Amino acid sequence: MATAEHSPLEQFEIHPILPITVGDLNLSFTNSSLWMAIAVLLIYALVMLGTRHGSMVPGRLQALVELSYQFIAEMLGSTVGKEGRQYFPFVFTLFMFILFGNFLGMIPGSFTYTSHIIVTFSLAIFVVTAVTVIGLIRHGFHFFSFFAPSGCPIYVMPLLVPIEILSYMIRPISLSVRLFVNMMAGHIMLKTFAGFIVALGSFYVVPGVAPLALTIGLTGLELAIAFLQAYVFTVLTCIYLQDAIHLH
Amino acid sequence: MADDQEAPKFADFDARLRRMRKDAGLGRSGAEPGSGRPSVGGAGVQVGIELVAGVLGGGLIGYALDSWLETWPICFLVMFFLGAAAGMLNAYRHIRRWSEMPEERPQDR
Repeated sequence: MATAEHSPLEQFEIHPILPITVGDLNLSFTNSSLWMAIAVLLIYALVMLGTRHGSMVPGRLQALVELSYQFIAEMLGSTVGKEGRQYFPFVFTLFMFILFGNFLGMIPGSFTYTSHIIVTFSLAIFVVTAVTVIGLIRHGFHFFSFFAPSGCPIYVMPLLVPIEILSYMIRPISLSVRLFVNMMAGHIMLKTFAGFIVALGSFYVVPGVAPLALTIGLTGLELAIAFLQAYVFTVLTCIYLQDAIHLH
Repeated sequence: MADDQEAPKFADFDARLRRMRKDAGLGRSGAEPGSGRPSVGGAGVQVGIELVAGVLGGGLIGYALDSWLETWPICFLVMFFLGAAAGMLNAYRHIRRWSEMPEERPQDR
């Protein structure tokens, strides 16, 4: 049944909406860019509208904004501590961008930009670079003691230090692969089971009910994963920040 | 009018909020979904990704070094195994962090 235009992978295709080429660079405004722009606009609108009145007893929108503020503030407070306060805008922006990307992707017909490795990898490499720079600014050269665990015998150092450095360099890969794999796998699974509804339903309608029920269940599961993965990405960012600030 | 009121003191507000939470029998507001530790299965997937990323990252870095220094396959082999070790180290840290997380959701298995 999987013809070219009904492939479960079709949802990940990138189409240019506004083709722009500068020299050899393809800078087209694609469906991916469109959904990123929508996400940013929605986040902006949510926070702006939610904080418009600033009443003591919050309305629905204000409660939502306050809830997300408190959620990130507490996450930063519990993992990084007081020093983490100044990085709140960064972490909050990151969380909202990923969360909205994941949730907007659940709208049928939309595009999930977090299901593309290049998007998540850009985010992850930015996080790790930023964290490294923060660590270098705070500790200067002392930051490199991070790669030499204290209290380990000197003769294992030649082996341990490269492993520590490599494990640090792998962070952006594991961070980005985690988000991208979870989103992509979930969406492929949803599409595949949704395809079964038509395939089985065209038999005698009734068999189609089973995959339909499964798809409904999976949609719920995917919504949970959408939140959880945004949370995991942000928590790991906080943990990396904590590492850079406190050096173990 | 909200504008006429003086801005409420945050310390005072925090204290009041904490008192009210305690009175209402709520714990620290860790009740948001997902703020408990992930389930064992979920953590397993995360650890698996950590292991794969180690090998993948090590291999890629080694391959890049080789094509730069033209020493194929020395760097690749060394970095592949170092990457695998680094992945295990990351996985170990991941598990340790996970087991230190408070078990907030009672139904977690």
